Parts: sequence; C-alpha cells; structure tokens
Amino acid sequence: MLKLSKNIFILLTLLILSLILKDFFEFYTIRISLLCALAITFFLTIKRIFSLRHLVFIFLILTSITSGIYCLFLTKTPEIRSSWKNPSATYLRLFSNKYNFYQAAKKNITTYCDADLETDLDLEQLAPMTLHRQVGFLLFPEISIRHNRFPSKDCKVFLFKENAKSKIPPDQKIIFKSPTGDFIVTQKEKIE
Amino acid sequence: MTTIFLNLSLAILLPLLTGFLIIRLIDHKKILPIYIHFSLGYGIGIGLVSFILFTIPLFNLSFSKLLFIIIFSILISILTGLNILNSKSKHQNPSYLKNNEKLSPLHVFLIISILIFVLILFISTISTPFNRWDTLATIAFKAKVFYFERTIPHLNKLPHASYPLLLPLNLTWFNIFIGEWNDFLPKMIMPFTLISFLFIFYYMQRIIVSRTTALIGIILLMSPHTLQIFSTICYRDFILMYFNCTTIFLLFLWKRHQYTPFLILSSLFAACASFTKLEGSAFFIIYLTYFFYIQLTIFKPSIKSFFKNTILFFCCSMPALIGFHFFKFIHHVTEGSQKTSLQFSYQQLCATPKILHHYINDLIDYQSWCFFWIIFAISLLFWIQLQKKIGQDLIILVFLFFLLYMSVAIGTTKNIAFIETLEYGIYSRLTLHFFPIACLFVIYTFHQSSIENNQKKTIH
Repeated sequence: MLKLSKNIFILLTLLILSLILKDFFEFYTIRISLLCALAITFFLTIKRIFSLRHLVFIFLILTSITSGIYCLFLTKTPEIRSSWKNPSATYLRLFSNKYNFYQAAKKNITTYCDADLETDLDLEQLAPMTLHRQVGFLLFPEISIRHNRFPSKDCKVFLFKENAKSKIPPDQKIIFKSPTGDFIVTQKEKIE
Repeated sequence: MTTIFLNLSLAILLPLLTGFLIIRLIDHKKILPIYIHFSLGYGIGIGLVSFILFTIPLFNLSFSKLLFIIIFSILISILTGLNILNSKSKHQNPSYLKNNEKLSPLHVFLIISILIFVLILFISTISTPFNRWDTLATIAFKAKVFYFERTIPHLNKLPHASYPLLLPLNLTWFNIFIGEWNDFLPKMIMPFTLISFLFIFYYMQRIIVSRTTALIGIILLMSPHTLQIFSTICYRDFILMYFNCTTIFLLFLWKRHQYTPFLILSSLFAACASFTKLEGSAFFIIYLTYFFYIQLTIFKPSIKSFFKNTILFFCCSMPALIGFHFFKFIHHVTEGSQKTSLQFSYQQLCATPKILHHYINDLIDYQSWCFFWIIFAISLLFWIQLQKKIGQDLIILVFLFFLLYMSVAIGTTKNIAFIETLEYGIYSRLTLHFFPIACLFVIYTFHQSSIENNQKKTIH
C-alpha cells in the first residue's frame, strides 16, 4: 500500500511538473518530448528501480533528449530534402535573388578587379553589415571589395546608393545593374 | 563525381593517417584503444594541416595538391618507420574498461539512434553552403583568399587579421584537393570533428560508467540545439570545443594514470585550441591552473619530475601559442575590434548583475539548451550529497571557464549594448566551448548517485 501510494505520488509530481513546463514553454516540440519522457519515466516507476529524485532527474534528461531528437528531425530534414533536390535553390533560399545578381555581375566582368564599395547603408548596423559580408564573399574572387590584390581599384560596387549613376566615374562603364538599381557594378574601360 | 569523392577521401585520409601514426608513436604502451588513436589522430591531423599550410608561405612556396601529397607522404613514411621500430609493445586495454559487457538490444537501439543523429547532421552540413555571419565574414572568406592566392597574404590585408587560422586553412586544404572552390563539401570537417569527439567522449564516460549510460550520455551531449547548430555551420566554436575539451580530458587521464604521453597529447591539443580561436589562448590559463593543481596536489613529485613535466607541457604547446602571436606582432596586427576593448573599471563592475542576467537567460533558454543546465544544477545538488567526490575536477573546471567568460564580459566595454544587438545568445555560443565537461560531470554524478541509491536499498 505504501509503495503504491509512493508511485502515485511520483506520477502526480511528474504530471504536475510536465503541465507547468508545458504552459511555461509554449513550444510545440516540448509537448511531444514531455509525453515521451513521461511514458518512459512511468515505465521506470512501475519497475521501481529509481528513487523519486532520480526519477525527476531521469525525466528531465529524457525530455532533453527527446526534444533534441525532435528538433533535429523537425529543422534539419526539410532543409536536407529541399537542398538535395536543387542545390541552386538553396542559394536562392539563403541569399534571395541577390545571389543571381552577384552571379550575373561576376559573369560580365572582363578581368578580375578590386572594387570600391559605395553605399548609403550604415555598415555599423547588423543587417547592412551582414549584407556587406555576403556581397564581399559571393563576389570574390572576380570582384574584391574586402581584400586588395591589385595596385589600383578598377571597379566600383554601388549598394543601396542614392543617385548612383551620377557617381560613376567617366572612365568606367556599367557591367551589371539590378532591376531596382540597388546593386550596380562598374568597371574601368580598357584603353586599347 | 568519382574524382571529387576520391580527392575528398585523400583530403581526409592524409591528415587522419598522419595523426593516427603520431598518436601511436606517443602512446607507446598502447594504453588507449585503437578507436581513440584514430579520434585523437584526426584532431592532431587537422592541427598539422593548418601548421603545414601556415609554414609553407614562409618558404616562399605556394599551395598545391602535389606539394601537400609529397609533404604528407614523407611524414607518413617516417612515422610508419618509427612505429615499426617501436612496435614491440602490445595493445593493453586498461582494466577499468569492461570490454566483456555484451551488446544488448538496448545498446543496438542506442547505437542506431546515435548513427541516425550523426547522419542527419552530416547530410545537413554538406547540403547547405557557407551562409552564416562569421563564416562569410572571416572563416570562409579567408579560406577563399588563401585558395585563390595560393598563399597567406600579409595578415594586415585580411579582415579580422588577429583571428587564428586553423579552420580557414583546413577549408583551403579541402578546396585544393577538390580542385575548385566549393561552398558545400569542405564543411565536412565539422561532422568529422563531431564523430571524432563522440568517440573521445564515449571513452571518457566508459572510465566510470556502463555502456548503456555512456551511450545515453552521448545522446544527451548531442541533444541541445546549440550543439546541433554549431556542428553544422562552419564556426570555430565547435572546433574549439573539440580541442578544449579533449585537452581537459587528456589532463584528467594524465591525473588518473600518471602516464606522460597523456600530458604530451594534452599540450598538443592545447596548442591546436590556441590556433583555432583567440579564446583558446585565454584557456591556456585554465590548462596551466589544472596542470599545476595536478602536479602539486596529486602527484607531489620530486623537483626533477616537476620540471620535466612542466617543460614537456610548455614545449609542446608554447610554440603554437606564442608562434602565431609573434607572427601577428611582426605583421603589426592589433588585437580586438575598435568597437569594444578590455577595460576594468568600477563602472564596468557595476554591470555584473546585468551580464549575469543575460548569461543565465541564455543558459535556461529551452530552444538552445533544452533542460541541460537545469539538469546540471540538480547534478550539482546530488554531487554535494555524495560521499565520493568524483568529478570534483570537472565541476571546478566548469566554474573556471564560467568565471573566465564572466570576467572578460565584465571587462569588455559596450558589452551589453553589443549583446543586445545579437539575435543569437552569445553566451550560449561561448558556453558550448566547455559544455561537454559539464555533460561528463552530469553523467558521472548520476552514475555515482544511482550506485549509492542501490547500495542504500540493499542495506535496507
């Protein structure tokens, strides 16, 4: 009788704990993981292997593990499925259509060049800074805005620059312009 | 496709085999099992790759696949010869590993679960290109520069010039073997590091716990979302976690067995940690504290062996630690960014509660850590009740790492303003560096407390 009441007490504690946690964390992953953990802990309670404190401990470990597995399946498998079907779609998913602009600009370049970046963005802020790093990485090595390799900078990259066209030097020509004009690349014309 | 596969296999096998032979040579009594030789060998291998790629430009040579193959072939031949000369000693399994334990259906189930876990992480890693902030800004960008220039340009010309180069150089290595710049496949280094670390972690658990608990421990280690994210994106934090925790684990083994090769290996891993991320150099203070603690309290050695051990530890780790900082000094590279700098003042000290609040918030964030740090807190309570203070070192080390990050956070100007701009908890990321040590502590404590519980039951 004493053992039975002890087991009921353990189960009630766990049930209350899971209800509290369920309300506290409003993530759908936790509900399933809590159920799994509760089921296994119930099994262990029947077996009467562990003490109360150990059961609570095991319950938390199991919740963590099941939630981890669930999270992994939930976040990674759709990512994998879409990536393996079409790798170029992955680039578009990650960098939006900016990726196509970078590729087109790189194709149009005649020789590799270092470029000056002209922008109205505040590159101290996180979002513009991220965009700057993306552009820098994806345009390299054809157009380099973050690493100087040549004695002179023969290209210019205009990124979200007002009146960009008026700022293009006379000896440079546009080699790529995005439809909205937010991204323009110019290169020095070769003098034969 | 076949060519790429063969080239990638070569890019992985060359450092793995070299590292394996180095480990076999150092562990001359063959105390460690062969799977640990491979796991540690992988770590030494990637460290060696970065060291060789770092030194090649010093001889005015440029990076090429042929040169790499020649260098590694010479190294492998020499190491094989030395291993043959040293092959008298037979493999000795330490007595504490219960190898006679048979595989039960539960073990098979747990092993399959771990394999699925790793497979998903592996495929997920190589199915997305470099895309995260740090990767694009520094790691992969530097690797791309090294790849196309076929050398390491003057450090001051590079963005984030003060950052160590282990990961960028390894990415360059992979791309040179592939033969063209690839945004996906070089990321393979991450899941391989994970696999290598899982074996090391399993071994560390098996010193104390049963196979079942050790396998559950591995799943517990892999369950936090933070680890899952950082093992798939190409950040240095995960690699630093690998080197840092392996260094600590090897020092722990050295304390248990007083077997000098463990000390040599730990200092080599400490060197790799310092070449992975700037924090790795700061961790050296903790390694030294633990090293001297072991020397003075556990061994109580003679002055001769004290100096011998100290020289050994310094000789293997210091060249890498000081070498890179000296190289930066020659290139006039200054540490840190202009936005934040280290400055200890009363005003900074007053921000401690706020920083602590941010830190705890990051740790109890369910999406980052599940319940891990709550479990850790409960383990701490269990551990206080326990008679046998196993895991004492681990808990002290966890707190030392925590203190180190807290003091750096307190001393960093504009720290809170910086943290608040970030989407992802910065402290979660930093805690990852020593998370496996805390995980090992949880497993040890749970095991000890269960044993005690069973003993009490039998007495009653």
